Amino acid sequence: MNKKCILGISSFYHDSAAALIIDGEIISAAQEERFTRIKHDSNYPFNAVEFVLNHSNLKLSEVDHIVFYEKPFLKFERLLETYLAFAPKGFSSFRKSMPIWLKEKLFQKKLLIQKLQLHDPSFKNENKVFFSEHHISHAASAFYPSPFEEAIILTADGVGEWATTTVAIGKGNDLQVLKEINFPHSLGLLYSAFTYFTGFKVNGGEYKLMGLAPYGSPKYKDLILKNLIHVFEDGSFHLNQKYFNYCTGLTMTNNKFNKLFGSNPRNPDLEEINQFHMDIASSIQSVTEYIMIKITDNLKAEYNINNLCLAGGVALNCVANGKILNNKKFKNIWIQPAAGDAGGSLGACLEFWYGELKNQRKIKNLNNLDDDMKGSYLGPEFTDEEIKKKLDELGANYRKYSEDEMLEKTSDYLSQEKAVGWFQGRMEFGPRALGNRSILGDPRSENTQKNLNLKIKYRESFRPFAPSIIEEDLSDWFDSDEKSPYMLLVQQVKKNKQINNIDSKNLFGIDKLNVKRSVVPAITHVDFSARIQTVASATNPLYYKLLKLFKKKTGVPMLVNTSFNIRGEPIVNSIEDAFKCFLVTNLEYLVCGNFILKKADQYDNFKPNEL
Amino acid sequence: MIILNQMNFKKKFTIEKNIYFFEIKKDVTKKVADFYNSKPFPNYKNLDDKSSILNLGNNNFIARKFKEFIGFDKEILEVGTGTGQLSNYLAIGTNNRIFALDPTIKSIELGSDFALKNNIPNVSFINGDIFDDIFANSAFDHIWCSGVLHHTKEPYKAFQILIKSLKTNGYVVLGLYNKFGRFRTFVRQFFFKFFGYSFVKFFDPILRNDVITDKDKIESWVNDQYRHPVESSHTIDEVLSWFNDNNIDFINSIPECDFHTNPDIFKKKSKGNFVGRIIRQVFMIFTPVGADGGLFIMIGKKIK
Repeated sequence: MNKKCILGISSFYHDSAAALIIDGEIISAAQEERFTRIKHDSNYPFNAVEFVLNHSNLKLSEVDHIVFYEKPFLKFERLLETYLAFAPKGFSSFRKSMPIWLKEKLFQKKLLIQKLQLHDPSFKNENKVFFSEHHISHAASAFYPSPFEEAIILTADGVGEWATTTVAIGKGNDLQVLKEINFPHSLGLLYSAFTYFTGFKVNGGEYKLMGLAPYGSPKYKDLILKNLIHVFEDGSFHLNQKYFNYCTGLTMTNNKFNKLFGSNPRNPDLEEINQFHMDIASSIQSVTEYIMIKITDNLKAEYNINNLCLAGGVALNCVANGKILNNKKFKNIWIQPAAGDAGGSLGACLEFWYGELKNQRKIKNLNNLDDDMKGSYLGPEFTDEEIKKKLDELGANYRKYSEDEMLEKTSDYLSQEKAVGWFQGRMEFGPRALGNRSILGDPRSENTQKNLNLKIKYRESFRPFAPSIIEEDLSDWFDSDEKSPYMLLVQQVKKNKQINNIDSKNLFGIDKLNVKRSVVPAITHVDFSARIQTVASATNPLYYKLLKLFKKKTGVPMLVNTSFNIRGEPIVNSIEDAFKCFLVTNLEYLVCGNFILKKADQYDNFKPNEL
Repeated sequence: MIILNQMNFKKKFTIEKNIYFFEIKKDVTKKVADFYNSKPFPNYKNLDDKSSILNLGNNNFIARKFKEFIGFDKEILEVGTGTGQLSNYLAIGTNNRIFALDPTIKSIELGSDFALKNNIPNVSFINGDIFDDIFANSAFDHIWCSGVLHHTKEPYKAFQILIKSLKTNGYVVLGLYNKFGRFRTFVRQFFFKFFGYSFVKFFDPILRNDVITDKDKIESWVNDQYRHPVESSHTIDEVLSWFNDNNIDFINSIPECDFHTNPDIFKKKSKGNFVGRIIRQVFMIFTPVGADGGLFIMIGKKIK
C-alpha cells in the first residue's frame, strides 16, 4: 500500500481512544469505553485499535506511524516538581502514585510496544512509535479538521504534561503554540474542583454542573474571583493554591475552601442537591464564561484573525462556547467534537501528518465551512444483514421495513410522544450522540423531560435535553444562524416560541423545571436556552429525513436527542448494547437499521415446556 | 409478568397477586419459611429502581459473570430467591425468562411488587418447595442455587430434584457453606449462644465494619448467621461426588481447585487434587469470604 497510514492512540489517563488517518483523511476513530462498557475507560484501547485497523482491513505492520497523544516523561517531570515544591505535604499521594509511574507510566514506550504486540506479535518496529504533546494533540485536533485556512486555536483542560491552557496559531499545515498557562493554574481543574464540591464525579460530572447552573444565581462569583482565582487583564489567570488540594492530596478542595463557602463537599449518597449547590454551579459557570470571553477578546485584539478553534475538556462547556459566539468577536468558531482526551488520539495523527511529515493541507469547502470530521460519525456500523443475524441470536422480536416505511413509522411513534431508541450508521466519536446512537423524543411534550430523565435514562430530573434541528430551520426557532453540527453551542429559543409565564419568575431552584417555557418545552432549559445540534442532509441524510417527516406531521422541525445509554454507562456501540439498553429502560421502540422492535413484543416468545 | 400455565409444572398451582402458589408439604420447609417471614432478607430500599438493582448486581462479580454468561432468550431458575433481588437483576435488560422460587411468601411478595412497580415483565415469582418437585423435567437452561441448600434438611436430595429440571448442557451454580471456610462463623456461633448480639456486634466483620447499618437488616443478618433453625456445611469433594453421581461435569469452583484464578468463571478448569482442594478450603478461613460466612461456589454442566 502506497498510502500513508497513521494510528493515533490516547490512553492511561481517562477516555482512551484510537484514531486512524490515511493520507491525511480521517477514516475512523472510537473510544475504548464503548467496547469495554467501562465509562471513561483509561486502559490501553485494544478494542478501539482493533476496530480502526479492521475497518480499513489493515494489519498493524501496515501502519506507517503510531503516535501517542502525550509525552509521559514531561508529565512525570511535572509530577515530581509539584511534589518537591509542596513537600513534605502530599507524601501520601506521592507514595500512591510513584509505584504506578515507576512500574508502568514512565516507561510508556515499552508498555505501548507490548500492548501493540497484542494486535500483532511480530510487531517490533519501535521506530514507528512517536509521542506528541498533550495540548499540541488537542490543538491539532481542533485546527486541522476545521474548515479554516488560518485560525487562533485555544485549548483548555485540566492538565496535560505541564500546560493547562494554550494559544496556538494555525496557518495552512503549520501549527505554532505561542502561549501557555501551566499547572497548577488550570481553568479545567477549577471547574472540576466545584464539580467535586457539589458532589459530582470529577472528569465526567462537569456537564451536570453546567446543566445545574441555570437553576441558581451567581451569588458567589465575586467571592471566587476575589479569593480563588486572579484574572489578569489579558485573561490569563492564577489560582490561589491555599484553597485547593489537587497538587498534593487525593481530593480537589480543602478545608479552607469549605470554610470560604461555609459548607463541606456534598455527599451524593446522603445529601440532595439544594439551592446552595445550584448557586455554586451558577457562580463557577459565570466565572468560566467571564474568563473565556476575556481570553478570546484579547486573542482577537492581539492577532486579528477571524477564526477561532477550540479543544480540550473546557471546550465541551457549550454554554461558554455560545457566549463566545454571541460576543461576535470572531466571525467563525469551530470546536472539535471529541474535545476531551479521546480527541487527542486524532490530533496526534494529524499533527504528525502535517507537522512532522509536512504534508500540504487542502481545505475542501472553504466557503461552505464544512469540516473534515465527517459529522464525527467515525465509529463501527452494521449492515441490515448483520443486524438481522444479531437480533435473531438475541431472540428479539422485530419487523423489517423498507427505509421509507421505517421512517414513516418512527416519525409516527415520535409524533405520538413515544420515546424511540435510534441505532443507525456509524457510531459517533466524542461524548455526544449526534443521531446515530440516540434516544429520540417529542420536544412538544411537557412530559418528555421528566419521562426521559427518570424512566428511561434513570438520571437526575434537572438534566436538560438537547434538540436536533433541521439546519435550514435553525433561525426560525433559535436566536442563531450559526451551524452547530456537534451540539457544542447553546443558544436561546426565539422569543416568539417562548411562553412567558409571569408566575414562574417567583419560582426557585428545581421548581422552575415544572413550568412550560416554550412551545418545545422538552428542550427549553429554565433560562430559555438549548444545546443545539443542526442536522444537514449531506452529513446525516437518514436522520435529516426523519426530522423532515416529523416536521411534516407536527410542524416542528426538531426532535429531542439524548445519548442512547442509561446513567453510569457509556453510549451503546453494538446491536447487543442497544437491545440491552432498550430492555432496561422504559423505551417503547427500538429502531435498528430498518428493523423496528416493540417493547411489548419482546416477551411474547415464551413457550411453555412440554412435559 | 409472564403467564405460565400448568405445562410448566408437575404440580397444581394457584395464582394470587401475580405469584404462583404451590402447596408446601414439608414441615422443615415451613419452619424455614416462617423464620424468614418475620424478617425478609435482603429488603429493598425506598429509592431502589431498575438502575440501582442493576448497579447492585453488577457490583457482585459472580452475579455479573452469570448474567453475561446467560446471554439472552433463556429460561433460568433461581432457587431460594428470597426477596428476588438477583432474579430481578437477571431479568432487567434481557429477554430471559426468570423463575424465582422461594418458600417464604413475605419475601417473594417484596420481589414481585418490585418487579411490577418497575415494569420487569420477564420474572415469575413462585412460592413453593424444592422437595415437592414442582418443575417439569429439563425446563431450564441454567439454574442458580446459592446460599440455599445448606438451609434444607436434605441438601443432596434437593440437589437431585433440582438437577432434573436442568436441560442437557445447562449449567448449575451452587453455593454452599464450606466446612472449613465457615470455621470462624462456627466459633462466633458458639459464643453467640452464651453472649448473644453483644458479642457478635464486635466480632462479626459485617457488623463490626458497618457494612450494613439498617436496624432490620442487622437483625436479618444475625438471624441468618446465628439463629437459623436448619444449617449444614459441605466440602468441595462432597459436591464433586454429587456432580459425579448426577451426570454433572465439573466446570469451576470458587475458590478454584487448582489455585489458578481466571476471570472467565464459566470456562472449564482442572479439579486439581485432593490435598490441593483441602488446602484451598482451609485458606478460605483467612480470606474475607471466610470472615463473612464461608460460602463456596461450585459450577457444573449437565452432560445428559
